[in-house]
Amino acid sequence: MDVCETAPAVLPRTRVAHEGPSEYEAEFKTGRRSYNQQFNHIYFQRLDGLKPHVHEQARRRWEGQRQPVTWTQRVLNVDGPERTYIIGTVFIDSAAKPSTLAQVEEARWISDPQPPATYRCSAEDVFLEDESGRIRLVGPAVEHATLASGVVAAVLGSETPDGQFEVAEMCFAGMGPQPARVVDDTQDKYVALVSGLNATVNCPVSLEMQLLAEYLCGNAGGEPDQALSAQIVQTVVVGGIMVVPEPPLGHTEDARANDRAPVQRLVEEVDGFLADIAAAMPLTLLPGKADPTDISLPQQALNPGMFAQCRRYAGFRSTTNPAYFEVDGTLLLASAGQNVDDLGRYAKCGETPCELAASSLQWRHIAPTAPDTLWCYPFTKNDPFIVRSTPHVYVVGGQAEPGTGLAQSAGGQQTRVVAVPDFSAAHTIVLLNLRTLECTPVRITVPAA
Amino acid sequence: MGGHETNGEEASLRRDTGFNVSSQAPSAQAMQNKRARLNAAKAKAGGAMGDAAGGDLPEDFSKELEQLEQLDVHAEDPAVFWPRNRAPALDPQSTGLVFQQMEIDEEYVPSTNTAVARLFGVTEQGHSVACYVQGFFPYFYCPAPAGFNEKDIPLVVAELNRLVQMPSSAGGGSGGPPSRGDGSHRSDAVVAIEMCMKEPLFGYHGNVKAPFFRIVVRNPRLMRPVTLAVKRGFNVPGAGQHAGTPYESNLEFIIRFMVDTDIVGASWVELPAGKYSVRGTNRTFCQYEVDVNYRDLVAHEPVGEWSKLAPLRILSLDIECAGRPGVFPEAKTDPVIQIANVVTIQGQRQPFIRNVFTLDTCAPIPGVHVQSFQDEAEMLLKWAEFVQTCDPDIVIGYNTTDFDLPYLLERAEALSAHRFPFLGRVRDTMTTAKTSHFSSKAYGTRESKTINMDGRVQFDVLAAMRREYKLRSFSLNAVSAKFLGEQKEDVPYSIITDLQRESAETRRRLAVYCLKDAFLPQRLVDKLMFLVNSMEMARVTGVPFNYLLTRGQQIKVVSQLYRHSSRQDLVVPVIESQGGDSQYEGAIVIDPKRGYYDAPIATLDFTIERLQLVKDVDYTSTPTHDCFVKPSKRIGLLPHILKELLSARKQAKAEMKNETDPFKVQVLNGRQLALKISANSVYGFTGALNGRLPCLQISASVTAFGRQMIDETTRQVESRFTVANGYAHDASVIYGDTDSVMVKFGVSDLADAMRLGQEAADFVTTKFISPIKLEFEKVYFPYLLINKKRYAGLYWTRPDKYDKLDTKGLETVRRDNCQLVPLVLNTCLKMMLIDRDVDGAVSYTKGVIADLLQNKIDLSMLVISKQLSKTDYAAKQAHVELAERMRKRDAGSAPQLGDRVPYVIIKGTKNAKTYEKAEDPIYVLDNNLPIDTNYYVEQQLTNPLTRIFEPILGSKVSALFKGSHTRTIHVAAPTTGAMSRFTVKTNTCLGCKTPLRKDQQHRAVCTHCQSRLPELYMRNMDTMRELEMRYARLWTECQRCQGSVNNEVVCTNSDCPIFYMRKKAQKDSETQASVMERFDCSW
Repeated sequence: MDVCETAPAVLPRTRVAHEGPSEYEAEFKTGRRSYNQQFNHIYFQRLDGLKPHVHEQARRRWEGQRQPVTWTQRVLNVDGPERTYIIGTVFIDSAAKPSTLAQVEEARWISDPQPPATYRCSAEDVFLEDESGRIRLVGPAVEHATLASGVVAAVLGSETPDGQFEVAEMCFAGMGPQPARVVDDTQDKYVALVSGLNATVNCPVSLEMQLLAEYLCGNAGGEPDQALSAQIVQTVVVGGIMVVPEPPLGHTEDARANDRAPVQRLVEEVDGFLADIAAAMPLTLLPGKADPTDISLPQQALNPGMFAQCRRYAGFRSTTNPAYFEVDGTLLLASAGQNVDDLGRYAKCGETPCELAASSLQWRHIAPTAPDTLWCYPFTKNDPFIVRSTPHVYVVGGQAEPGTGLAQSAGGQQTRVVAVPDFSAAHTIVLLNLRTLECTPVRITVPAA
Repeated sequence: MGGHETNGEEASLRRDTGFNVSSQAPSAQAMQNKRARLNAAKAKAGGAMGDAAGGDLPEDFSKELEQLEQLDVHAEDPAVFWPRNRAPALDPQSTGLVFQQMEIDEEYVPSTNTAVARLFGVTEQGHSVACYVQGFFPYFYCPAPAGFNEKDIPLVVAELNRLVQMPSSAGGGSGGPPSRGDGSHRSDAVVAIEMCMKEPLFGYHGNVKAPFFRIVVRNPRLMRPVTLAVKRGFNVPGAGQHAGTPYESNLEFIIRFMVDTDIVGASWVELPAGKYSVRGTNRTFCQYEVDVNYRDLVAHEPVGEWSKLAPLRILSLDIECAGRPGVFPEAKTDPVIQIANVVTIQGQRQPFIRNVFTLDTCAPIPGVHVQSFQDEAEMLLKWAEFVQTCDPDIVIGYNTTDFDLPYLLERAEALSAHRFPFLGRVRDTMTTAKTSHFSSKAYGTRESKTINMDGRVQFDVLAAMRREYKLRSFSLNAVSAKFLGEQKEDVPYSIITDLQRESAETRRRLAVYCLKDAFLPQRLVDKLMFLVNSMEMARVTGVPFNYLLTRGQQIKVVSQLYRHSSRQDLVVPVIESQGGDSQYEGAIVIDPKRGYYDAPIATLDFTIERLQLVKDVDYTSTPTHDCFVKPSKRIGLLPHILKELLSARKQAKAEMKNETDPFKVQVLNGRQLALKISANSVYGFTGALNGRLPCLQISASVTAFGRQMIDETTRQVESRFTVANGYAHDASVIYGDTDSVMVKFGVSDLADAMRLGQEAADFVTTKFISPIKLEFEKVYFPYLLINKKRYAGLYWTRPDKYDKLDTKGLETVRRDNCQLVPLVLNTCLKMMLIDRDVDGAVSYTKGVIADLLQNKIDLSMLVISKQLSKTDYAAKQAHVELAERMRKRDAGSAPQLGDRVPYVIIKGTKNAKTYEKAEDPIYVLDNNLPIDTNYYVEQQLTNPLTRIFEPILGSKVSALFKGSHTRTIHVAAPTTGAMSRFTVKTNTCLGCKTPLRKDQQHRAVCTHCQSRLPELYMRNMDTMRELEMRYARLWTECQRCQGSVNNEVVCTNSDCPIFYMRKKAQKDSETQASVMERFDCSW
C-alpha cells in the first residue's frame, strides 16, 4: 500500500486499557548473573521440564494401540529389536556447524562466526540423549523430520543390530496450555508490528522511518489510511532498533579504536524518532541481534536510560527478547527472530519461518538450538524458552518477508504465527487485527521525488 | 567432582556412548546380541501375555524372529565371536601351507640341545600358524691356515669340542651343558666345519678369495665359547697352534637364519606339500603347529602378489585403574577397574569386537559387549582368556608397553591370579615384564619395559609416535588432536575413582571413555599407516617385524649388509665397540652472509647427496688421504647396497604411478619411504663409533668431498657471473650448506634469477666429474638468513606462484617455549616474507607486546609445560617446585610423576627466582594473579624475535621491546595473597578511573562523566557481548566434544587450546556482568 500525502483530518486514536505489570514480564529476565556454571543445567532443566508432557503425548499416541508399545525409560536401556519408545533431547552433531576449536587452533581468536546457510550435511549424526547417554537415531522418519538440536522428543522404533535406533515415528510435547482470549468484538484494533529499523551511525533516521512515524501517528496517507492508523492501539518494535558497529577485533594499540561516541549520537537520534511514536500510542521495544544489549538470548531490555525522551511517556516499554505481553486480552509472544533463523539452519525441507515457529510451539520450546548454536545465558534453575503459556499470537521479527501461519493442536490451542520483515530492507510493517488476528502487511515507500 | 546435583538419582553423571560408530554390515557379534535379546523378548512376552503369548506379534516382527531362528548360532554369549574361524585339517602330503610371518624367535630344545626358529603368522584365510623350523645351526667363519688339508676337518672338530668342554676353558660353563655321556654328539658344541673361499669385507684384497673355516655350532648359546676357543687358538694338524679371527660370530641367530633362508620381516613363507609335518601337540594357541626343515622353506620375496597383507587380527586395548588421591596408581594396591578392547582385522575399517571388562556393574552401551565382574582376579583371568581365545597377531595401545601391560601383570601377581600371565601364543611360556634400557643414537636413551608375548607383536603407538615425529607433547590428547583433528575428553585421574564408586551409570561413563582410548590407537595406526609402513620397513631391511620398535637403526643396516655380503662371498669382521669421542669433521657449512634479502636467492643443489657419493665416486684418493677402490676393479658393498635400495625405490615409485588400488598404493608408498630411510641410514651407520661396523674413513671422506664441492662451486660461480663477463651484476654466494649453495645473482626479477640459476647449475656441472651434478631447483625470495642452519624464505619453483614458506632451525616446536613464541614468530615471518610487509610485522609485534603488558593475551598462550620425571633434581626447577607447592595445596589434584606440569610465570617479590614464580594456570585464573609480563617479553620473546628482526632492523631491533607501546600496563589485582587482605576494593569511574565516592560505589561513572554514560555503556556492552559469545562458544564446544549435553564438562585436557580460555571466559563474563549491573543504577 502506497501512502501519499493529503490534507490531515483529525481522528481519535483508539485506546485500550493499559494493563499493569503482567505475570509474564519476568519470564525472560536473567536477574543477577553468574557464569561459573556450565550449559548442562539448561539441557537438564529442559529435559526435566518437557519429559512429562512428551511422555503424556507418546502414551496417548502409541500405548493405546492394539499392540501396546512399552516405554524404555533410559535411552541406553534400549534392548534389541523389540519396538519401544524412548524420550530424550535430540542432538544433531554435524560437521557443518562452525567449530570453535578449529577457529581457536587456526587463529588463536574467537569471533562470532558467520553462520552457514545450513548446519545439515552428509557428515552428521542425529542422537537422542537423556540422563543415561545418547543413542544414534536412524531411518527416514528422522531424516525427513522437521527437527533441530535441543528438541525434546519421544521416538518410537527399535534398536538396530549395531546399536543404533531405527525410528518409525516421533512425537513431541505438543502445545502448552493457553489462557482464554478476551475478544472485543465491537471494533477492529490493530497492533503495528515493526522489525529491523536498523538505524545506523551513518543514517540514524531514514526517510522511510520518518514516513513510518508519520503513518503510525496518523499523519500520512489518505483518509482510509488515517482511519486505519487511528485504530492502531500499540506499536511493537520486534528487534533491530539500531545497528551498533562491530567493535574492532584483534591486537590494537589505539584506544580510540574503541571510541563509542558516534554511537552515543545514534542512540540520541533514535530516541528522538521513537519518542514521536511513543507520544501517540504505547510503544514496546524488543532488542535484536545488533542492538546494544547482550548478544546471547534472552537479550535483556535495552537500558531505558538510553531513551531519555521516550521514557517520558507512560506507554513506553523496553522489554526483553523474546518477550510476552498482553494487548487488550490477547497474549503475544514476540521474538526478534534469532531463534527462528537458527531453526532455519536445521531445516531440511524448505520450511518457512512461520512453519518453523509453529513447529517450535509444537515442541513447546521456542529456542531449542540454544545454547548449542544459538548463544544463550547458562540458566541453572529453569529453561525459560519452554513455552509455559501458549500465546495467542507468536510474532517473529527480522524476516525477509511478511508471512503468517497457524499452529493448532488437538487440545484446542490455536496460535497465529506472524513473520515481520526487516523494515530497513522491505519497508514493510504488519498490522495485526486484535479482533480477528488477521495480519495485513503495510508497505511504506517514499514517493518518487 | 565440583558438580552441582540437579536431581537426586543419577543426575550428576549422564553420559553418551559416543562410541557407537556406524558400521556397514551388522557384525556377527551384533547379530548375536540380537538373538540373545530376542530370546529375552520372547520370554518377556510369554510371561506378560500368558496364553496369548506370541500370537499377537505384528507381522514384520514375527518374520524377523523367523529369520533369526535360521541363523546357525548356538551360544548366547557374544564371546562366541572371539575365536578365529575353524581351521580345516591340514594334509601335509597334498597341500602346502602359505602364511605371512609376523614374528620370528628362537626356542631352545633341550632334548636335542639345539635351537629352532619359530615363525608365527597368519594364512590368507586368517588361520594362525606356529611353524618350527628345524635343522638350522648358527655358524661363523675363521680363516683357515695355509695349506690346510680338508680331510683333517674331523680332527679340528674334535679339537674344538675338546677345548670348549674343558672345565678350565673360561666361558665354557656359560654355554653348553656339560657332557652327561648320553650319546656324545648331543653335547658337542661344534657340529661341523666346512671349507669355503671367502674374502674379508674390510679393505681391498685384490679380489682374491682365501680359504675359510665355516664352523657350525650346535646352538646359539654355544657360539660364544666356541668363538673364544677359536680366538685363543687351537691345534691344526700340519699347521700347529692356530689362532683365528672369528668372522660373523656376533650375528644373532634369528638374523642369521633369515639371511640364509632369504626371509625378510613380515613376508610370506610357503611350506610346500610333502615337505612339512603337522604336530600332534597343542603347545600354542595357534590353529596350525607345523615342523619344517629350513631347506624346504620357501621364502617369497615381498613383491608383486606377495606384497599383500594377511588378515591380521589387531587388538587395541586400554585400562583404567582406580588410584588413591594424590598417588599415581600402584599395581600392588590400586585395582584395575576396566579393560576396554577393540579388535580389528587388518584392512577392515571397523572393529569386529568391541568389549569392555568392568569391575562392578556397568550400564549397557549399545554396540559394545560389556562384561562385569565383582572379583578383580576373575576379571583379569577372563580377560587373559579373551586374549588367548581371540588370538591377536598384533597388540597395540597407547603406552601399553610401559604402563597398561606391566600394570596388568603386576596386578595379577598382587591378586595371586597365577593363571593370568600367559598372554603369548605359547601356552606354557609366562608373560613377564622386564625393565630394559634402550639406547640409540637416533632415538636417545630411555628406560622401557619389555614384555614377552611370544608370537604376538606388540606395537605401542606411543613408542612409534616418538620415533616418527617431533612434537611438543606426546599425550594421546595432543596426538589425536594433531593427527585425527579432534580433541579428546580427558577425565582427570582424581575423579576416576569417584566415577567407579558411584553407580552403574557412572561406570558406563568411564567405560565409554576407556573404549575411546582403546579405539584411538587403532585409528592413529590406520591414519598414519603405521602398520603398513612398518611392515614395508621390515621387508626392505629384512629384520623381523618386532625389531622395528624394540631395536635401533643399526640392526637394519646389519641385516642388509649380511644379505649382500653373503652373496658376494664376503665375510664380515667382528669389531669390538670402540667408544671414544673421536669425531670426523662434521657438517659442511660456509659462513653465511647474514641479512634480509629482498632479492631472489637461487639455490643450487648437488643431486648426488653425500650418501650417493659413497656409491659412485670414482676417485682413488680422497681429501682425507684414504682411498676408495675404483668400481672398475670392484664395486664396494655399501655402494652396492645403496644402488639396490635406490633402484628398488625407483621401481616402487614407478609401480605406485601405475597402481590404481588405493591400498596397494599405500603399501608401495610405505615401501619407497622405507627404502629412502634405509638408504639414509647406511651412511650414518659408518659413522657410528660404537656401532657394529664403524668405518670412519668412509663418512669422513664423504664429508670432505662435500666441502670440496661447495668450495669449488663457490669459486666457479663467483668467477663466472660477474659484470666483467657481461652479466648485469656480480654474483655472490651468500651461504652454503651440506649439499646446497645459495647464490645471489643480484637480479631483482624472479624469472631472471631462475634462468641464471639454471645456467649456473649447468655450467658448474661441466666442471665436475660425472656423476656429480649441480641442479637448480628453487629460489628463495625474499630470504632471511639468520645464521648457520637458521634461515627462512619463501620457496619458489615456478615464477608465478610460491610453493611454501620454508624455515630452518627456528623456534617452532621447542617445548619449553610458551605457545605465544611460535605464533608470533610464524605470523611475523608470514608478514615479512609472504606479504612483504616488514612494517606490518613490526607493528604486529609491538601490538602483541602491548597486549601482553596489558594482560590481554590469552593465558593458554603463556603456558609453559615440562614433564615431571623425577623429584630429586639437583637444581631447583620451576615445574618441580610448583608440583611440590600444588601437592601442599591439594594432594589430590597435584601433578604426578610422569605428568606434564603446565605453568605460567607470575609476578613475584623483587629478586624472586623464576622457579619461585611458576604457578598453576588454573590457580592464576581463579585468583586473578598478575602475570610476569616482563618475563615473557624478556625471556621468551626477545631472543627469537631479535633473531628474525635483527637482519632487517639492525640495531634498531631493541625498539620492538621498548617504546610507547610498552607504557600502558595492566596488572590484575590478586584476590588472594598477603596484601589482598589489607586492601579495600574501591570501584572507579568507568569513564575516568577516578575512585568513586563511598555513597556512589554502585554507580558506573562519577558525576563528571555522567554525560558520557551512553558511550561508556556501549563500550562496556561491547566487552560484555564479546565475553558472552566467547563463553557460549567455548562451553558449547566442550559440551559437543564430550559427546553429551546433559553431563557437566569435567575434561582436564590442558593440551587443548580451549582449556584455559573457557575458564577465563567464565571469570571474565562474571566480572563484566557485575560491571554492567552498575549501569542499571546510573540512569
